Amino acid sequence: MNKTEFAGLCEKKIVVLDGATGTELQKYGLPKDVCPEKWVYDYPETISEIQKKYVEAGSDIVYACTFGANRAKLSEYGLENDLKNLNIKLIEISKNCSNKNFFVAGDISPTGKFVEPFGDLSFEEAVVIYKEQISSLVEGGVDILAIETMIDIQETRAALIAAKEICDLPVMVTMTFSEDGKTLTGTDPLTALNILQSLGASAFGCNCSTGPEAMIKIIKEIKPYSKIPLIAKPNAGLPVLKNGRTEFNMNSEEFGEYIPAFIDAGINIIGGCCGTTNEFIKQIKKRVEGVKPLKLENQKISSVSSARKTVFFGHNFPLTIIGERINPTGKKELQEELKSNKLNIVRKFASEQLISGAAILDVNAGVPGINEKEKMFEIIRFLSKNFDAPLCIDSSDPEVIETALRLYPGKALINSISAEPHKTEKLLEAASKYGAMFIILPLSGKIVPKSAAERIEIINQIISESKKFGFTNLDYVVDGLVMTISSNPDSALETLKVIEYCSEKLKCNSVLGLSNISFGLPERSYVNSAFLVMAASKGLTMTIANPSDELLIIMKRASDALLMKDKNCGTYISLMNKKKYGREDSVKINDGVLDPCGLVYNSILEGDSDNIESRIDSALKSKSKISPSDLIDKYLIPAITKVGELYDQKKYFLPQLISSAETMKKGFTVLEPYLSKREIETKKITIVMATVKGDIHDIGKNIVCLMLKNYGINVIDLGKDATAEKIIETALNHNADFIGLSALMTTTMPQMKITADLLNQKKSGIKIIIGGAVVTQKYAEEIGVYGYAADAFAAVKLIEPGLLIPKSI
Amino acid sequence: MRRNSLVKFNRIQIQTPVGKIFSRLGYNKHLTEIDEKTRLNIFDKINDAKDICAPSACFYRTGIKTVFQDTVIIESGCEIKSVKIAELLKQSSEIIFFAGFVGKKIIEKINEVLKIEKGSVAVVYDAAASEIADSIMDWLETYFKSELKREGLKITDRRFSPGYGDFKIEYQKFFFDILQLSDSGIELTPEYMLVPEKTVTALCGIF
Repeated sequence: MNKTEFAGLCEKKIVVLDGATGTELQKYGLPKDVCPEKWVYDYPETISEIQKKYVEAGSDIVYACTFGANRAKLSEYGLENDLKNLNIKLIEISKNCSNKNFFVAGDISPTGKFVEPFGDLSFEEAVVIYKEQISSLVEGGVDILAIETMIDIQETRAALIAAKEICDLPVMVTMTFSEDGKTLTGTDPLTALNILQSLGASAFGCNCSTGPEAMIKIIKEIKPYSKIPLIAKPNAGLPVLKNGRTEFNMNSEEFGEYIPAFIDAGINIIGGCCGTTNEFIKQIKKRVEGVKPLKLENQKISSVSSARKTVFFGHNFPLTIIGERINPTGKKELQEELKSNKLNIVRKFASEQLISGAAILDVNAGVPGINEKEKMFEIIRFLSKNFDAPLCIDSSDPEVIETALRLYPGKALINSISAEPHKTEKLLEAASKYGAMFIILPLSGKIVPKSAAERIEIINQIISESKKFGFTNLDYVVDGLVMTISSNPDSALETLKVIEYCSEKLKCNSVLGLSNISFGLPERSYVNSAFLVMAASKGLTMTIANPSDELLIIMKRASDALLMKDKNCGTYISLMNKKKYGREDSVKINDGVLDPCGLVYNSILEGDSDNIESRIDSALKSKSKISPSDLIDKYLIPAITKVGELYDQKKYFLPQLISSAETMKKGFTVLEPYLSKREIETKKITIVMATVKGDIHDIGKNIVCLMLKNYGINVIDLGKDATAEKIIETALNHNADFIGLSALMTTTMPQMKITADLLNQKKSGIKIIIGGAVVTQKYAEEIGVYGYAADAFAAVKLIEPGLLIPKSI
Repeated sequence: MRRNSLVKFNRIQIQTPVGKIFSRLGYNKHLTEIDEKTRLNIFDKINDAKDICAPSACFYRTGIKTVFQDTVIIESGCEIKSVKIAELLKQSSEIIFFAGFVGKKIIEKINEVLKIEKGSVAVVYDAAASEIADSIMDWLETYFKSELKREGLKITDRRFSPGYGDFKIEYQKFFFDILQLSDSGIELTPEYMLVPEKTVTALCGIF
């Protein structure tokens, strides 16, 4: 069967697949701990009988028992050298199971390993493993390939690319989605569909994951975006224990009742997975007989995907920002980092841009003196693993782009394709093979075409070429080409004409590398933002820009709202609300006059340690002539007390509490030289802190120590694994007021009682407070210690109830 | 999922459990008021932690010979004495021992920021590492469920770790040996604690 015949079959009728193989073979005596493929090879009558029943029940396609017949799986049984023989023989068994008309699919499944960037197996190794099996399946004469039960999008891509490189057979792909609606490596169904249909899958869907109910939801969700037939192969419900045996909880009639809902959801191909039998297939057949599937009427939307996220864009969507900063051009620090094999700046730029509003990240790895291809892959691997945003692959070297597209676990955007002989065709071919979108750059040589008319001519030339590869106006984005107005006064207007042409005539997406417009001008952000708004009004759909430019982001959001791309202006309003930095509790500015002491208060309240020093300095020099000790008593202490109240009310959480405490400590350090000797020498509260004997967990205890120090308490930290004797001896020697004990394990908790008992014998008056993951208030009462601290702040409160600040200062 | 052989995942793709990290830090979505600058800063630190953590895992599946009221005997003849475990495994024919780790680097990083007295950063790193470690164990359970479904099997609803209930911490040694944790850079202290911190072990049953 070729791809056209397969598409025709799926258009004509709802195609019925087979039911379970594994759970059926168990009924025929498949033992545990054997290779199922080899067992079937040795006992061919088992699978033959199962599949015959499926065909008789109405299956149009049966899956040959080649599920685990790849090198990685077979090698677990030492059978890797039998791979070819096994695959060919298993196909033969399936082909001969019945005299009726049916198709045999070569069954392909996970290798059991995870593919980079999410695992250890290299992408090319995975492709080789699948190519080897697919070659044998093709030699065995399969009609179709079925890649199924996949849990990792990158491994699925490897299998699909292998299939494309070996043969031209139709390929059905189904993935397994967990209870959270995602694959084990975090891919949602829509993203999987977007990646795999672009990559050339003939049909896509899910198998095994769940019972029918949850699978109907998935089919419904992805149907509007599907350009290819959809598949469902659900289990017979969920496994349950009955009379000491695990069974699936759904019978064939119950299963059959879900079929009309599958048809309504838009299914084209349906069968059963674990726990289903020929009776289930009969139920399917009965209900799909004579029913025509829904037409493939996917929404006309452009999109790119990472392994875990799909970003849609176009004229009905808010303007999409492609973050421009991961590009070493003109960035010496980034160049040096890339040369030294570090990616700290890349991580920082990615994080900052995404937080600031970029939806896609542009990646350029072109640094003289490094291997761009290797560096690009290293960055792609890093970003794919750590961030969800889709990537825009930016290079002038077609080979770098092609390699990146092959290895990228998503559907990328190419930046860019211009009109250059050989290069254009090579890049279009790569975009077609790996299912990428691309940016059309209206350049045909080294001279930049100045007029819109010249640019449009080149754009049309590239579009014409792209049609040969089957691309439509949804697959490309036209770059309007931005030149600075400082040297070309009419350049903005010419670029806007190109944008308008894309929007009105070509009905395609357009993009601008925004910041070029203001090159050589002062206060570039104003010019960039103004140009963005003008271009947006002409239909611009994307921009390559720095989203950390606050003005630009505000103007983008405002434009989205004005152009009806922001429903109820929700995003704009939300952004404006978030922009209100600071708290309502902060000291207000009166009549436009800043109160320097109030700003000190605000610094503590907001945990603003960067500005506390300068604000204290301003306060002390201000007209109010406030003394250092008054500044502490009237502003710092009330502020930190307020922070404590907010934490108790859960209006603040731990990071805010500690930031404020850190700011407080910094404030004290600044003020200390101004205080009189008497004020400083007043006795500080002292606590001896330790993780008890036998326990090596001390991160929590260390955080408590820091917090106590921030509140001006003198902390003597004995670290971890400290004996009761050592703790008490230290406390007595330092005339401590408190001992703080931490334990993370139930097994080390008794050390707290040992310490408490030993201390009681000394009759010192030292109080013990305890804490740690397994410790409770009840335990504190049981062993008779002073108190239990659930967290760092509770420890502070136990030591200084009421005031929260040592009276010494 | 083959029996009686150790399976290792040297790199696992974990979705950052941002919500759980915030909850662990005391964030209450109805009450906590957090300004944009602080929120972005915390997200940035979570991203940092995610980058530093190296989620990996391993497991070992084996058969159960007998389950008594307070003892489970596994295929190799080893005994686990615990009423809780016996109760958990009473309907199971097999058992999976598993472990998840986030690596040494994140612990070193937490200690490093604590040394320079950046407690507000350390708490975020600490919470992120703890929740990522938990997510690794959840990921493994999801993996087991998905793999075992094809065998018509499922796992117990709960997992159990040494040191909880009557499942003595001493069994950490058993996990350490059977999962060959020393090969993964994990150490076991004389008090049966696993180093680095945030290394988690557990077992569950298959039925």
